[in-house]
This record gives sequence, structure tokens and C-alpha cells, in this order.
Amino acid sequence: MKTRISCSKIINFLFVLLLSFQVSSAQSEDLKDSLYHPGILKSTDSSLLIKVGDAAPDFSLPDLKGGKVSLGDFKGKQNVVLSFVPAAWTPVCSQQWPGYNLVKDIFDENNATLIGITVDNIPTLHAWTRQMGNLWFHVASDFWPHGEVARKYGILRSDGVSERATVLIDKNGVVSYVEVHDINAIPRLEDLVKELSKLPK
Amino acid sequence: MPCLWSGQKNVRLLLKLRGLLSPKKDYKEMNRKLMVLVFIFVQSLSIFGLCMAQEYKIDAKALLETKFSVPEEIADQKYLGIAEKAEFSLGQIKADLIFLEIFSMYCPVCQKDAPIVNQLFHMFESDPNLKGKVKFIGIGTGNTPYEVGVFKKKFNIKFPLLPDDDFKVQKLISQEVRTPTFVLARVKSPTQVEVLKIKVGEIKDAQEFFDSVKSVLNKGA
Repeated sequence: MKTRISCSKIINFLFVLLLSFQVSSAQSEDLKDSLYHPGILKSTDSSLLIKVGDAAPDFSLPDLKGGKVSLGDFKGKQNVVLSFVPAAWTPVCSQQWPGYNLVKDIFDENNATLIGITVDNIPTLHAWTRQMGNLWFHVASDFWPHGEVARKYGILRSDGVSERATVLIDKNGVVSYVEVHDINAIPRLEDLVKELSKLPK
Repeated sequence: MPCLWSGQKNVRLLLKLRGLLSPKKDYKEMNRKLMVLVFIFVQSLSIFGLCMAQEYKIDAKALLETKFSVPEEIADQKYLGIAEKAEFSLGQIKADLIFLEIFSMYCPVCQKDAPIVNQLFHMFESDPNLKGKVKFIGIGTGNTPYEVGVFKKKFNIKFPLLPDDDFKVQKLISQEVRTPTFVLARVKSPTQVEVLKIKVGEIKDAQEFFDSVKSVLNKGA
């Protein structure tokens, strides 16, 4: 019995000690990059509620630039690209928008604007996007009611973040392209550019 | 990330083993499992130690052997001295030193640093004693040819940039690749290259970096 207790104690001690080593090595890596690494996630986790040809559901969300940004503001004037990304301070999302920041000229050539959307709140988006340089596009917060716009589009995942999704809406307010990407990877820029070129100018 | 991955695997294994242990198990069985657990613990400590001690370094041999597609632009092919080939390795570049930038079009630091790297390239190209001795090449890790083309055009980059959409470069680096990473390598022969300097993160001062590369060149002269 004594031996059993002793074994059990040793095992528990080793278990706790080993667990603490694993956690500390992960934390160290996270702190170094200031990013949270969520690991590999289920590629998609929602049921899309819009399709090509639908009238895009309107919304009005707090804009990082101040005030609100509404889809309706662009109707009859400009094509709109909605870039939903799951979360601030995560590796893939932190790269995707800086890529778009580089190609304003391509959006301009196609009479398109870009609205980046996450379910994070404005203070978080402010802190996060500072490291991306000066973003030319709208960054909108779908924080409250939480993920309401993502839910309307059918791209709210079961854990409360949005999918990594791209929606192109022509200047008549009609969905012309929708793609829910694998959450773990950056969508290829050329795919977006190809779809942009199909929009009415 | 390799550290984290090994860690998660070990934790899962431990949870399984822990669940198997119960006071009702016989004594011999318990001892056997304890031995297994101690073994895993020791192994895990070594992995942890290795991860902590592991430097951010490049496998020079693998770097030399890695094949890249020849850039499409004739000027780039001529610059590297690798015309009329489908693929090439860094050892085939005609130069004393190779200045390799591992970047990503999506990386804001790489974007911010692009004008400084251009300035550095111009310094080497305009120095009559160094022109042709140091060859610049950029590898867009995780980037497609289109994305690399966007970066080249946007920043008017005059040296060859290569796509690396299948993350070949990641296999050469001891840790998760960070961008930008700058590697200075000496080409000793087509089959021998020596990594002289690795810099992770932006080059803030082109002149300072230029001087440090010149001193490396002078030492090897």
C-alpha cells in the first residue's frame, strides 16, 4: 500500500511538473511573437446563408476610423469586398490584411472598396492593426451584438469567431462571389484579383 | 512550433497513461507504467532543453541543395548567371557572397523594410569593387509567383525574387521561419556554401549593414 501511495505521488508530481514545462515552452513562444497560436483548427465550422445573386444583407458596424461603416453607403457607387477574418492577434489574420494594404491600386482599378471585419472590439482592433502600417480600408467591429453580421451571412463559427471568408458585392448590392476559406491559411491574392476583375466598374 | 507540437503530444500521452493508472492495478503493472512515465519525462526534459537551446539557424547543406525555379525575367537570369535552366540551386549563382532575403508579401515589416533593402542593393551595385561579388536574391516564403510579383512591382525591386509557395525555406530553418530573415552566405564552390551571417528582423540602417558585410568580405579576401 505504501509503495502504491508513493508511486501515485511520484506520478502526480511528474505529471504536474511535466505539464508546467509544456505550458511554459508554449507561452515563451507566444510572448516572443506577441501572437496567439491557436494551432490547426477545423477548416470551416458554419453553414453559409448567402449565395451568388442574393441581395447582400445590409449592416452598420463601428469603424476603426470613427463612426460607423454601412454596406448601404456604397450602393450605386462602389463595389465592396468584405474580408471576414477570425481573430486579432493570430498568425494568419495578422498577415492577410497587410497583403491587401499593398494592393489599393488593384481595388481602385476595379472601383472597389474593402471592409475588413472581425468579431473583436474597437480597442483590440486599434492595438492589433497598428503593427500593419496605415490601412487604407475600413476595419469594422462585429463585436456587439456579438458576431451579428457574421451570423446573418452564415459564417459565425461555433466558438464565436467568424470564418475566414471573402464576399464580393457589386455596386448594386448583389453578392457576386462568396468563398469560405480554410481558416488555417491565407487565401491567395490572385483569386481575389481575378474575381475583382469580373465586377462591373 | 516544433517544441509546442512535441509538448502537446507528450501531454496527451501522459493524460492517457495517467487515466490507466489506478490503485486497483497490480503492483508489477504499476511499476512498469511508472518506468514508462519516467522515460517519457526524461525524454520530454531533453526535448524541452533542446528547444530552449536551439538557435535560429539555417542548414547550409540543405540550403545549397534546395532547388528553386529560375526567375522568368531574363535580366534576373543574367544577374544570377543561371540562364537556360529550369531549376537552380544557390551554389550555381555566380558570386562570392549571396545576400538572401526571406520575406513575405503579407509581412508588414518586410513591406516597411523593402526601401532599405533596395538602398542596400544599390550600395553594392554602385561600389566598383563589390559589384558582381555580392548577389541579392529574395525568397517569398508561402508566396505564389503572383504575390511575389506584386511585392516586386510595388517596391520596384531590382534583384530577383522567387516564390516559395510550398514553404521549402521552412525546411532549412531550425525554428518557425520569421520574416524578414537575411542570410549572408559565401559560395565556396558549386557544392559548398557557408552561412556567414543571419539577421532576423528589419535592417534599420543600410549603411551599417553594408559596412558589416564589407568587413565579412574583407576577412575572407
